[in-house]
Amino acid sequence: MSSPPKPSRRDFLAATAATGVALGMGQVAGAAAQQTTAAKPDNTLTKGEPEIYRGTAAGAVLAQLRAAGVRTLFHTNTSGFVPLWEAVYAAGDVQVINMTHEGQAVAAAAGYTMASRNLGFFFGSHVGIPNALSNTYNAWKDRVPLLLTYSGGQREEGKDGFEWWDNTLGPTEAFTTWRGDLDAEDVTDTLRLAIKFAFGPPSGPVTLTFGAGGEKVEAPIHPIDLATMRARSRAPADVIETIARWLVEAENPLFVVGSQVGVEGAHAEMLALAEKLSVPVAETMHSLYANFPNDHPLFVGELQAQRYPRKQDLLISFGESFTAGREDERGLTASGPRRLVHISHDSQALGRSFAPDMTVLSDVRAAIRDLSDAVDAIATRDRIARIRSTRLAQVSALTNGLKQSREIALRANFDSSPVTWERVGFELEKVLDKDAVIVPELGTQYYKIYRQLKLGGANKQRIGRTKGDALGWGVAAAFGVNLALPDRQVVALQGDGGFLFNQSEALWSIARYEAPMLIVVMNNHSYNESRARNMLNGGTFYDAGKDFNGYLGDPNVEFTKIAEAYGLKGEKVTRAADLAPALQRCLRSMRDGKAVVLDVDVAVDGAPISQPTWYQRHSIAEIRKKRING
Amino acid sequence: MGKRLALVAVTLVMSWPCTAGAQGSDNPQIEKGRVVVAQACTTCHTTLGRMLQVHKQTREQWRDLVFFMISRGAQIMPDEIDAVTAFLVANSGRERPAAPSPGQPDSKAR
Repeated sequence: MSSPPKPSRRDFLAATAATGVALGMGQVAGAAAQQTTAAKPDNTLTKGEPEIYRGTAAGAVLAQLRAAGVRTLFHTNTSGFVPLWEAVYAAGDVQVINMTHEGQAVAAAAGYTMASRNLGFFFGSHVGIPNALSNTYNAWKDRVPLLLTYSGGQREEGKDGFEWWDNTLGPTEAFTTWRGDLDAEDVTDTLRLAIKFAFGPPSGPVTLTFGAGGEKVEAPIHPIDLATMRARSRAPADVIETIARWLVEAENPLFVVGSQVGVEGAHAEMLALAEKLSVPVAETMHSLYANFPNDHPLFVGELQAQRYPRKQDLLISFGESFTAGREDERGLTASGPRRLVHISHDSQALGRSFAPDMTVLSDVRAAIRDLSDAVDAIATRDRIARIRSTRLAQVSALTNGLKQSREIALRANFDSSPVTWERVGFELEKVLDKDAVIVPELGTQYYKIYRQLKLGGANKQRIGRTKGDALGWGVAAAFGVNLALPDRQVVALQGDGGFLFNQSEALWSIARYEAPMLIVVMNNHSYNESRARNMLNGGTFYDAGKDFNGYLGDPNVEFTKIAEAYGLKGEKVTRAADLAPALQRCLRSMRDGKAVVLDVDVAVDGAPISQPTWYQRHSIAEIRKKRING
Repeated sequence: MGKRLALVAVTLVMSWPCTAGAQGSDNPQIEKGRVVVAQACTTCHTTLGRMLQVHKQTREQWRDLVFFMISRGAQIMPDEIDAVTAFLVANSGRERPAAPSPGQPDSKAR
């Protein structure tokens, strides 16, 4: 999908731009780079026609971004972007966030975009593409609209040049909705196209090569409302009517709320429809946001864990892109024959991982509203009220019982040390603001924390865990969330193993930009998730009590010292009784504007093995035959 | 595929013989636990039969694991906790927790 090469004019412009003088590069050009002037000075432009920008190509890119409301750019160090820096300097209202690693920059841009619904824009060196891939993949799985632009790309292919491989953007192909070249000749046209592709649907990252940007251009700048960039759709009335009829007639329906409810901000509509007929609401294990209040009597938890009702006869998914694999698949098939309805604004997500009885391409908000209206048209008020009250009693009995069970489980080991995950969630719920934002990157034990926190609706929000599951996302993503939501408490929930996946770099930016976040490291000194899975069905290593890769406690990383190395505050908790006072100290630091890394010794979960600290030992110091400098 | 696995798991648990020396298959508490396990655990744990064969644990350990799974999302009601624990102990119990064996060659490994 890359743009075809346009050699002649570009090469000429690039060559002349490189001289600097001929095209007026430098401070003067930079200062002029932000000027946009009407194409017709007599002010006869009709509404919606573009203004014409005259200046550098990089200046045109920034002008178009600003016309789309983008004021935050993410960057990782490289040379080659001087014209863009000059344009930023001249603009005066654009903030560049420096990150020390491309992968972390992409995660921060993704977190920022997920929290703000703005557009994440990154610029860096093409040689950093491999670094960026892991979190580009995560952003693609999460359908986050990003523009990732890379310098370079204007050389002859096939010569194995310096910092060069052929097909520069080729490595990003699997994780992008589009790829292109910000060629000076049509730079803002390409940029607008890229934005359109980023918002889709399907939405996701777009990668672009971006030359020096010093070429002189005259480029059209269009006002862009990012809120309207995603292509809209609406289901036919007869389809909605059929589903409404199924819904009214169903004895045991179940709703599954998905990420698109969050993306469209359709929480209130979702809640109203569920309450209209007291339909229980589940989420998938890979749910990206808290799309439904988890303290609501209709919220029944994760889809694959559903035990009630025993005979579901209708499942309607609102905007969930099911993940093919065991958990979602089990949830979709566990309850025997029933009708499956899949509603999504993304045609590529519809029926991709399972075969629904009805696929509905529609904005989720519109579908919910239409369905609600259709129910009203089909059933009398009395009938709706009857269904609502009868089913509410049944579902509430279930959810109240499960709540009591969770309380028993919480209290069972409440004072244990290492601290239980439930206790961490319980203490966080006590001290955090009601509108705090949680950004988790945890294994499947996350639910033990989630169910102690009030999430969704008017409560705390959750962003993540990324559906991509590629570790090394959470701290930087949480930082991006904090950039977007400076007035909210932002809490990154990290495993110790996940933190060690290149995440300490993000602390540099957190310190530089004084993001007053809380980063909780759930430290069980192991890759508990993979250990538990590897040992689940026994085998040679379980019998021997040995786990080749699971133990992380040697060396036992002092995460507080990592925090302190970046000038941040570190808190260490090993006993349950110390958690609440430590959290109070964390909050004080956050109020003072400084982030905290809270390292909590938490329990290892799963069936125990007999030698939990064993690992395959190897010492270079012991086997060496020659002492260096000795 | 997932549905088939789940059915196999449910069938395995429903036909699981209670261990002799435990409270016996006619123990109503264990029977209740068997039904709950078949409904609540096999929705995720499709290899539950194998897991029960492998992971012998004490009553306290099984009880903690039941708590762990409730927090993790298992739909077990308050009056079912003891029954589920009893079923697990009856079928995969042990007197003492498994301990590191000092006689194993790698016991000095950290």
